[in-house]
Amino acid sequence: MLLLLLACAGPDGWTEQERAAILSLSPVPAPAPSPTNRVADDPAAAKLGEALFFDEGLSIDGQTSCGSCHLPKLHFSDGERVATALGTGTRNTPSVESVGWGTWYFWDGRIDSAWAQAAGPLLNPLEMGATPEHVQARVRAAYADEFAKVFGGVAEEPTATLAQVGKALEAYERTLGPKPARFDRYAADLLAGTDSDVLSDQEKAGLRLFVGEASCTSCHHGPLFTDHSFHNLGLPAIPAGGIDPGRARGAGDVGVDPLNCRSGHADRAGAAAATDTAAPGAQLDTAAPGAPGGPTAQADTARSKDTAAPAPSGVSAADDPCPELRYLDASFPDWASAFKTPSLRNVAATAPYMHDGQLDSLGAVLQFYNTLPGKPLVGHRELTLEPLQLSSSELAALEAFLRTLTAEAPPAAP
Amino acid sequence: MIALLALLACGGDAPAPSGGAAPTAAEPAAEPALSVAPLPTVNKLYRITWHTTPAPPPLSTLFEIEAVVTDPAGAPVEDAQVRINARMPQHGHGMATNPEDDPGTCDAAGACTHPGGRYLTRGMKFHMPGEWTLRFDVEGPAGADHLEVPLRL
Repeated sequence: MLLLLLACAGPDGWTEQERAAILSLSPVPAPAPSPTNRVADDPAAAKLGEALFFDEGLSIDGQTSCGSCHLPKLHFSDGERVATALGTGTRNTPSVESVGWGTWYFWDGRIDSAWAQAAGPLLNPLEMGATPEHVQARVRAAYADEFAKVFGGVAEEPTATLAQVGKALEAYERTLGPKPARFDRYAADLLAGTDSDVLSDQEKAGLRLFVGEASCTSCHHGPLFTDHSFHNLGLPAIPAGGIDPGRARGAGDVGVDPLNCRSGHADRAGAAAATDTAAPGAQLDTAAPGAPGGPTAQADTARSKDTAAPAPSGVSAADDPCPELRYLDASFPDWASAFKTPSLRNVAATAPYMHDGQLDSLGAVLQFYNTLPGKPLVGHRELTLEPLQLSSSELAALEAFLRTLTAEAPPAAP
Repeated sequence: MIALLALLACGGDAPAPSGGAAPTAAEPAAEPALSVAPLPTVNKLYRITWHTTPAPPPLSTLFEIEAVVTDPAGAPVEDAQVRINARMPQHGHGMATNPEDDPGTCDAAGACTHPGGRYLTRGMKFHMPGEWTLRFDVEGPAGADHLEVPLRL
C-alpha cells in the first residue's frame, strides 16, 4: 500500500507512519490455507493429531514424542540450546505455534509444508528414530478407528501412512496459533483510537524503537513478526560447532524431499486424498540435518537456472500446484549459512535463541544486534544489518516491548 | 502492511506514478492500488505500463507482473521479447526466485505473439524490504531498450 508519510504525531503520540507500522503487526489472522493437506482444518484430524503429538509409542524407543521437545508450557519449545532426544542435534527446537503461516519449514527451509515437516522428526535418528513401518504398525494398533474416520483408513504403503500422520499433526498444530498477547490489546486500542495504558511508557518506547530506529521490522514484520525468509546474521561461531550451510543446503533439499508438494503424497484440490500413492523417485532421508554441504553460491546473474524442483513436463505456470517449488532459486547466493527468521510471538518463553541456541536471553540477543561482533565463517552478514548502537535504557525498553508479545502458556499436555 | 515509500521512474521524462491514498491496516486499499501511466524506455523506443497481481506486491509473497508495451505513438508491440526482473543494487543480488515469462499466444509452429502488447511474468518475489530496481528489457521491432523503476519497500 502506498503510504503518505506524515511526520506529525497524532493524539495517541504516534506518527501516522508509526501507527500504520504498529497496526500491521496485529492481530494474528487465521492460518493460511494448506493446499496439500485435505484435513488441515478438520477438527477430527486435529483431535487425532493431538493424540499423535503426545504419543511416545511412535518413537523407536517408546519414550519420545513430539511433545517431548515441544513443551506446551514453553509455547512448544524446549528451553534447551539444541534439541536432545535419542541423540543431540545441532539446532534449537523452534515453537510449532506458527506453522499455519509458513512456506518453508525447519531452520533451513528444507521442507515445504507443515505436514511434511511434522513427519520428519519421527524418522530422524536423533529425534524419534522410527521407520515408516514402525509408525504404520503403531497407527494400526492404536488409531485404526480414528484413521478410518479422518482418512478412510490407514494407508497400505508405510510412507503414505507417515504422510497421514503428518497431516493429522499439522491439523493439531494449526490450532495452536499464537493467542493474543498484551501487545495485541494495545494495538486494538490504538485502532479504536482510545488512549491505552495496556503498555507502559517503557514498553511504548521499545515499540517505537522496534518499528523505527532499530529497524526490527525489516525482517520481523507482519502479525507473525517474521518475513518467512532466510538471513545470515553473522553469528559468532561456536567452537567445534562446525559450519552449518543453512538455507544453502535446504533450498536444494526441498526439491528432492519425498514428501514435497510434487510428491504423490500431496493432496490436490478437487482430487481424492493422496494417501496411497508412493512418492516418485526420492527415498526418505533419515540422516540428521545440519551436515556440511549444499549448493555452491554462484555468480550474481540476472536470472539463475537452478530451480529447486522444476515442474513436470506439460505443467504450465498457470496450472502448477507448487509455485513456490517451481520458482525457488536453489542457488541464490545469499542463502549461505542463512536461517529462517523466527516469529517473535511468545518470544519471552522460547529461550535460548538463534538457530543454534547460542544466545541465552533476550538481553543477549539485543546485545548482539547492538554491536554485531565478529564475522560470519561463510557468506556475508545480511547487508541491512548495522550495529544498533542503542543505550542501555533503550535496549531495556526494546526488551520490555518484546516481552509484551508473549501470551499465557497453553494448557499442559493431556 | 508493506509500505511502498517511494516509487520513481528513471526512464527519462516519465510522469510520476499514481497511487492510492494512505490506507491503514483496517482499511485495505482497493485493487489495483498500484498503477502507473506509460513510462518511456531509456531510448524512448517503447512505452511501458505495468501492474502487479496482487497489487501492490506484498513482501515475501509470489506475485505476477504484467507489462503492456507500446510504441511511442501508443500502438501495441505484440511480437517483442520482454524480460522482467528485479534486483537490489545495494545488495548485489536479485530475487531468490527464478521468474518465468509467459510465452503468449503461440501457433502450431511455435511462433508466439502477445495480443494487446501484454507480457506476463510469474514467480516474482520481493523476499526482503529495501531498495529494489524493477527492470524491463524489451527486444522488439524498433530494437533493444529497457526501463528501470526503483522501488523502496
